[in-house]
Amino acid sequence: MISQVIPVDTLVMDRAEIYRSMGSARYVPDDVIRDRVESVIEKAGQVCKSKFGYEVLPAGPSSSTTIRVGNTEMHTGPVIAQSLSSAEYYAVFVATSGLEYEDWAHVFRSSGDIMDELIVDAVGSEIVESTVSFLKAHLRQKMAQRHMFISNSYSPGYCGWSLQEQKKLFAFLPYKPCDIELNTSCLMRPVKSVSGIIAIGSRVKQRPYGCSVCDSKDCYKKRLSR
Amino acid sequence: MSNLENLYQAILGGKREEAVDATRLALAEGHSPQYIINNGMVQAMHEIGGQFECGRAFLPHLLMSARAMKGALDLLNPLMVGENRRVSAGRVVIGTVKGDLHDIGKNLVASMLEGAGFEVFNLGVDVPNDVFVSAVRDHDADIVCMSALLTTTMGNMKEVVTALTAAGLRNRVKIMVGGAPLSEGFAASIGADGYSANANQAVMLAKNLLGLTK
Repeated sequence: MISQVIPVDTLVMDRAEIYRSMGSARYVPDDVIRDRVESVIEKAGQVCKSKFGYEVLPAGPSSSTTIRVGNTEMHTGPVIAQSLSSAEYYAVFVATSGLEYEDWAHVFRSSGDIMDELIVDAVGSEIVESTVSFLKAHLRQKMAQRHMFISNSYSPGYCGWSLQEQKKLFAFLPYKPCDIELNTSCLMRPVKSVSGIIAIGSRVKQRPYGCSVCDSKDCYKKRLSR
Repeated sequence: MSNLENLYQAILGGKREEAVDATRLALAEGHSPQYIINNGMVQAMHEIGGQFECGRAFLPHLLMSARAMKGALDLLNPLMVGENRRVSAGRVVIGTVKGDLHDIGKNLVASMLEGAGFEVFNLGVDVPNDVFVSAVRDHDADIVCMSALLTTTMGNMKEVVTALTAAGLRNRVKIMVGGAPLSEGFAASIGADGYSANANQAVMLAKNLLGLTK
């Protein structure tokens, strides 16, 4: 597995995304909350070691609802399968804010202030999302040398892809990749971790993705985007 | 502005220290704790809750208000015993079900319930069924709240309902559920009394279930 540790200060943290996680797309924080968010980001930078890891595997024939990674069929559902249909390879990846952040956040939250807890949670989510963005930039650059392109990243649990299929992804990676454990409920620990797949190929395109192309009614991301 | 008006504004604005100061001054003025709660605090929480529901306030505003109210309530709580009244709106046991480690949503609900005057016993995450059952019994809970963020763990909520029924507790406790993949229909299908989509609605639902709404 190819892996990399990324210092938080090299990540591009999207403040708007943090505020969205804390409230809604229309939430505009006041100066007091902004200062608290910046303070958490600064402290997180001192302790956090976010990381990613991935394996590149050949793509097999896909159908309207499935893709094939190596010899394994993944039931991604139609939204994701159609977005990945021109893949020649897949990068199976994990990314995490890391155990250090989880341990620090646990101590920080023990102050009992619910606002601090909300901010730490939102910042943790953004650290892992920006780590995925970092991975995609890394992969895009690497594949460009081979005249290939990459797709968006797609994860089990979203857009009709069952969370249970996460076990199949982890089977491609070494035991506890980037120190991430997967429990029997398919929950990753550290909680602020992402697993997923990225298509690679000479005809792969980044298609429109997200809530606009997904018909899931109960997804929390859809609720937040309102 | 009167001290009660100051208290109202402090809670509405999410200013805990100011809310505590205004409460102290209202007490010094001779107002009873129950009068202060009814005429300053509850109204402020009702107003911020209404603003949240119509999209004029957001989760951080709600939490800051609940935090301010909790600070003021902490000052009044010891005095309420002397009034021989029940200070708690109700006793709530809350936890994230077995197999699930997500805690922020559950803690937001716990915080809002505390701000609304409920006595909350937070069991944490990955809570086994029998721990829910014994907590309901030990704390004489009026409500049990369960949270799950995963489609793979939401099914464990039904097991808790079954365990409460087997323990003979189902008829004396209301059951509320919440979490991203859940819905009203799911709550009904497992025999829960209600579902809430956010922390503010959880408070409204808890009050409704206990008959506390006017």
